[in-house]
Amino acid sequence: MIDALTAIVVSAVVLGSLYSLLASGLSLIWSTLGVFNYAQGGVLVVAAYLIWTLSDQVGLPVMLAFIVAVPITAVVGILLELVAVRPLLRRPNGTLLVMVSTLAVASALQGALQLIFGPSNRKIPAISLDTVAIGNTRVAVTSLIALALALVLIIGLILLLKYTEWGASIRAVEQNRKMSMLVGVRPNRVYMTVFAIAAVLACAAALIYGTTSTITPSKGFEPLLTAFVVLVFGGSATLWGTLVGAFAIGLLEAASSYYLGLQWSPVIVFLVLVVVMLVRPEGLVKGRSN
Amino acid sequence: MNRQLLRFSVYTVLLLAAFAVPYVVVAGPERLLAITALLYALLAISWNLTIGFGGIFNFAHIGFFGLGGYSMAVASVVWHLDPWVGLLVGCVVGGIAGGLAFLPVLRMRGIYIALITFIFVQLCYYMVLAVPSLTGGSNGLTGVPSLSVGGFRLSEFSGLGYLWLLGFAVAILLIVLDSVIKSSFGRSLIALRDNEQLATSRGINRVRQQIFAFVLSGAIAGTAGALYVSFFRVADTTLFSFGFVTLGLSMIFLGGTGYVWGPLVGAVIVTFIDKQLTGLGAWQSILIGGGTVLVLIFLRRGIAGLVADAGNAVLRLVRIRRRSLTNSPPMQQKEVETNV
Amino acid sequence: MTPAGNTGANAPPLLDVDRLSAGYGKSTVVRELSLNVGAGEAIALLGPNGHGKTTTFETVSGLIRPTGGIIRFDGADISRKNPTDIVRRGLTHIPQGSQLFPRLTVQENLLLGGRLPRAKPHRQAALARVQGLFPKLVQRRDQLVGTLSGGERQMVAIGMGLMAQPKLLILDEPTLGLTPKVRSEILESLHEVRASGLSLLVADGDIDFLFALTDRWYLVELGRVVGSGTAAERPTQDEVMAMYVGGTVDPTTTRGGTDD
Repeated sequence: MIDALTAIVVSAVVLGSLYSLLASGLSLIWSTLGVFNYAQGGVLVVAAYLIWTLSDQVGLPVMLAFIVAVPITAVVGILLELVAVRPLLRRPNGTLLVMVSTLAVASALQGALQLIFGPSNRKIPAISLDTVAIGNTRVAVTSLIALALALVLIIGLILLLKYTEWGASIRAVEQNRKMSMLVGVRPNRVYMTVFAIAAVLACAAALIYGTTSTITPSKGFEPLLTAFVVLVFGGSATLWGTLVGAFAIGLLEAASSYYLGLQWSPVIVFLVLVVVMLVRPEGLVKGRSN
Repeated sequence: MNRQLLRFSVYTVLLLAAFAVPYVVVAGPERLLAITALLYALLAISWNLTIGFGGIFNFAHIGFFGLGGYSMAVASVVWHLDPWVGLLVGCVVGGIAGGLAFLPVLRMRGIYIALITFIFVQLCYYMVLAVPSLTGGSNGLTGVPSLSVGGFRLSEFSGLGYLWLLGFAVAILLIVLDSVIKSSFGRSLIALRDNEQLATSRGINRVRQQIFAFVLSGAIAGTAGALYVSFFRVADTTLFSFGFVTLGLSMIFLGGTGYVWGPLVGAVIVTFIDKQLTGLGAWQSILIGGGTVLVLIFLRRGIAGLVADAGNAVLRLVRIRRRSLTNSPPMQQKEVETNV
Repeated sequence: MTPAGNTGANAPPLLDVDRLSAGYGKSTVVRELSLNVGAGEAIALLGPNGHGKTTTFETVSGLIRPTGGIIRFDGADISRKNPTDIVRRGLTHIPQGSQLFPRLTVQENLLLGGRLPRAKPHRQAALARVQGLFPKLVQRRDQLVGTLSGGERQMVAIGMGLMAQPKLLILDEPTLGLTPKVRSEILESLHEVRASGLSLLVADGDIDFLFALTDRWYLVELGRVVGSGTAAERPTQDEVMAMYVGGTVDPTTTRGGTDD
């Protein structure tokens, strides 16, 4: 019984870390620009391939590959904003146009990765093969690293938003774009920054994803979909809500995978989502509504 | 020119064109292309009702399409019903799916439908996989029989029957939707898109109008899916694939969301381009995806918009010739908000 | 160009709006409007709602691009500049309706007002000054601005504007929805700031407030200046009402609406 519980909890921790990183980026983009970035999964896969190339082909140790991949991924995020978002966001109907555009970019990214890397499975070598004893059971160190990464980055983001000038500019644009311009904030720069931050978070998610699962060009959408579920589930009002929601979904997925099998867990998650939406649309976590 | 007269003449021309298509498109490969284009046109035109005219962030349309397709396959292969019944089932299932996809957004803000509908398609995919005894699981269902009238199978002569059927289906769809858009329902839908607050303050019920749009477009998409499966004889999970989503969207935006016939133009062009690209594998996604972004940025009103502008310019010239008064063109205001 | 105020024989005005035209989308709201504000002056903009006062302000502060005319501020042409560039030069616009950042505290809002390089070095001093002008805000320092009363929110809005160390402060309907007591508090604070040389350009529905604060006035109707004068030549309340009623919009029924 304990073994089952540990397995589920560990799995939930890894999944939750992955989803929280992806969903936080989406949440930030959503609250600042008012759109959902359908290419976020694509950015994750690009980052995963980047890390893979740097570690498998270039030979860097995985953590170093990750650190090198972070700024490159940030640039990818910025390019995404410049090309697919900025020209369309301020137009009438801009929200829809941006979402369609990011969807199109996701498709193009998938094709490009297919072209460069081919469809076969890749896997990033694990950061560490060690296990650690917690109580009576052994837990893989990688799971703990995943958790630490997610918590550090997301809590770091929350602190950045609350206590730095940069963070103040982002929150200003998020809360009153017009007024933010009148105090000298440049919304375009903020949008670019937000996309860069989301990309960095996606890169961390890619590290977790690539070391625990296989990478193929088309794998961007599964985690993206679950991140969407997290946004609705946890309420996209605050990052804390996203964090809690992500681990809740991770737990749900891990438990249903264990007891019902892998093919049923997505269905369970979606069904729970539907129930939540009908019963408590503002999400399960209390927070101000956007 | 009398507006009504113009409308009816256009409708007549449309129906005549539907009749004439198989006479113009004679060879096998060409017919395949035309049928594919018309199937996509049904998909794209109906999608435009919710996403273009309704301005609703509907990414579930492929789900309705796929469910309609599976309905046809299940009805005719598993339950051995007449394919025409399968077609009807596809239509009904599509409509119900349309309603269901919208339900979760009842109590949420409209933007969340972007997430919900996207998830909906994935849900359809998993549901189909979950009951392999009914749906063939990951293998799908094969051997879907062709539609036939009397003893004549529509698939004969490289799909002559389908070509006629689809041509008329598209023509009738355009005529019906044209009337729908001009009706009070259509105008209320557009009003909700342009300014939801204003529209609801004037008594327009957002939920009622939008759910109706979803059910209607879902029913049409379901029919399109059923026809698709009927022609290609196979139903599998690629019906829910992401590739279809991008393809459909590219057609709508290339053609032009502001016009009922816009997506038809888009469907024809994109099907043609897609065919040319078939040998290129991954380049297809890159070009179609990239092309869609370019179209969104540079072709704001789509090709239909360009054509309509050209048509208006011609009409203006004609009017200038007829009277000596000229209408001074409206003052062109520059794009006023500064880009910061 | 309209006659400059009493700023010295040949001193160019601080703000010179020359035949400005602007609007939203296809509609022109401001038509060849000209006005100016001299250094140290306080100017009132009168006129019915919907006739272009807010649009004029938004064009001057860079939120909207003009379709015609020139705007000069402190010697430079700012007609096509970004709001950021314009605030940097010392022109601060406080829009209608207490525009603030609702989920930030009073303190955070005020600090954001002083975020630009021009104002940042003096931020703490500026903050102290604003707190001196509006003592009520001191105890509300860490309160979320969305929870404040209307009067307090407007004080924060004005405080934010002052934090930017402006040379010219544009105020759009500062007394809207405020009680007479709060209005006189704000009037007093604005007088105090004026004493240190700040120029003002104000539009408001409260005529008494306007003329207690300003030196000269312009009357705007249908996007154009149709009258002007000094405070001494101020129209009476009845005359103003007549001007308003004579226009297309009756201010008593539409006060509180926006100008577009």
